[in-house]
Amino acid sequence: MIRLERLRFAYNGSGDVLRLDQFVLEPESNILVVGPSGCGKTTLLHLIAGLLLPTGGSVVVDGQDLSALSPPARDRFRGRHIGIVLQQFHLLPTLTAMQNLLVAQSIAGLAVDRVAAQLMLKALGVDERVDAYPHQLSVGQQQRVAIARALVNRPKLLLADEPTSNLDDEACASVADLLLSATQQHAVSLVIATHDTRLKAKITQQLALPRRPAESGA
Amino acid sequence: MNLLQLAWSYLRARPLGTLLNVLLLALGVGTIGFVLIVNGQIGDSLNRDAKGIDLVVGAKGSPIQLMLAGIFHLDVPTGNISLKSAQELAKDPLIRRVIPLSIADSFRGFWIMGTTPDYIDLYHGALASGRAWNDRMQAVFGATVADRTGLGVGDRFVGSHGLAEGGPIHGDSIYRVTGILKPTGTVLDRLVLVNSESVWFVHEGNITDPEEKKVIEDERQVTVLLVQYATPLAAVSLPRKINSETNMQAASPAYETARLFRMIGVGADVIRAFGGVVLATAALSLFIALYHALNERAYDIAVLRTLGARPVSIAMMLMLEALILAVLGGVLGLLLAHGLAAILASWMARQESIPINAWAVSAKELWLLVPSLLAATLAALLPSWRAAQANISATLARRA
Repeated sequence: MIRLERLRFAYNGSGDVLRLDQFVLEPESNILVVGPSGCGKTTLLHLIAGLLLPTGGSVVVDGQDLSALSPPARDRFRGRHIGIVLQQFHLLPTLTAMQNLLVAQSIAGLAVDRVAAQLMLKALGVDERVDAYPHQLSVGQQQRVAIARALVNRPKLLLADEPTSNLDDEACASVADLLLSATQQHAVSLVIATHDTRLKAKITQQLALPRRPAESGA
Repeated sequence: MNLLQLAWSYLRARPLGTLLNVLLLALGVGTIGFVLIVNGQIGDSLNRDAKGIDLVVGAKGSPIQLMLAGIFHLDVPTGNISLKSAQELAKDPLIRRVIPLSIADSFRGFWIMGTTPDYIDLYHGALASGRAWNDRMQAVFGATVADRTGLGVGDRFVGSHGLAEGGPIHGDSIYRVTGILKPTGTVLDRLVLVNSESVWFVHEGNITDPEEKKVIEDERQVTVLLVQYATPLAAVSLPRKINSETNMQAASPAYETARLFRMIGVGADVIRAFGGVVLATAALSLFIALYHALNERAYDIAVLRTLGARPVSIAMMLMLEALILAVLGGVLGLLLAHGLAAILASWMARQESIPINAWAVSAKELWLLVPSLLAATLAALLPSWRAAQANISATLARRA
């Protein structure tokens, strides 16, 4: 599902470099990206999502080398094949729960499919609140809608950036279970970047990033 | 849920800001549109009234006053000219037709116009009821006069001297209404038409002594002559000849109207410039709102990008927001322009002045949306560009 080869990413300005020589994630498998704060977990996620481009090496997602795509094609690829869940589970505040899913379909260039969106909300257990605006939803409901939005275009890969870091133990377990069951149900690979050790009990496969070396490298 | 709906959702989410920008745009478009509508209507009206008249001849004085009094009947005449010199002028081979107008009295604020049937023909006037005059002291009412005074065929009335109501009344000279004209959309609607002899009779009284009658008839006067040329060449020599060789004055309606418009035009330009300033303010307000939105929505924009939105789509979303406001503001502005024109029109109608059809809508008015769209586009240009350039990874990392 993901293949990283001799990956290098040089941060702007500083001499810091993210290095990852070899990494492969099999389809329909889960992995935690762990490491100390500032080691580049988010950067790695953004590289896999095509939000950043590597300064060396290649990122291949579902057989597609992201660097080989034009910027618009890369945006489209992301919209159709990669689901992303952010730390705040951020929903667009001016749109209802349903509209948040429909806009994801529309922006990815897919047909707007209200039925599919409704089913995905039902799968996440929030089909009762489809016409509610984000501020009318509980935090838990917002998380579910955000996960439904990330999955509505049937991606093969779901990326989650620190989805549990601000949550108490109960909520943490609930979100982790939600992510795992939803990805399993829809045959999606899951990559979670986190420093939250509580998740290690749920997902055994781990990629540990070392603390970033301070000196510059090639 | 396309970009247009997305843009609209953001506008709906901040109704006050949206309202302010729409109102500012509407005010700018409305002001400019108002000037355009009123200018156009007045111009059309004056052109209709002056159509077919090549030259106005009257007593010496201000040529604009002569034209205002002789054609549009918006001002008092410069004075009178003798019937004899008028008849002399009519013999000139360069002249095809002369229509005399004798203006002295009024009836309830409408001029009583002593003239010939040619005058009615000039404006293609047709009778709605009754018949034309065939003797003195018979009157034909323009459509507006009949409407406002409520008088009909067979009714009698007396004129008062001058235009102001309550002037000295010619109580012993009673007119009878013989006909009512259909509306023509010209100055004819606002006139009481009688034959020239009626005006003379009212002021001379009934004279029986043949000697005295001869003297008085020699001194008869008319106020204005409306002249139609026999040949376009007449424009070259005739006005100069009249102005230099007679004690009369000749004014060209086309030239004097243009001159008048140039004078009023300054006022119109000022109002138009005010509209431009308001529109610029609207653009600035819109720019600030969008620029603000850029910061407020940085994370929303980043989320849209993670969902696969291209930078150009993000720019388009902001541009669409501005354009929606521009269309709303533009349409509201057009309504405002017509509303203002309607207020002016009702005021001018009370003054028996130039009629304005405030609700006449022309397709050309859609051009008024252009300044509105232009202002919005300019305002959205930089915010849109910035939104497209935003570093998504950095925005997401900052919050994370």
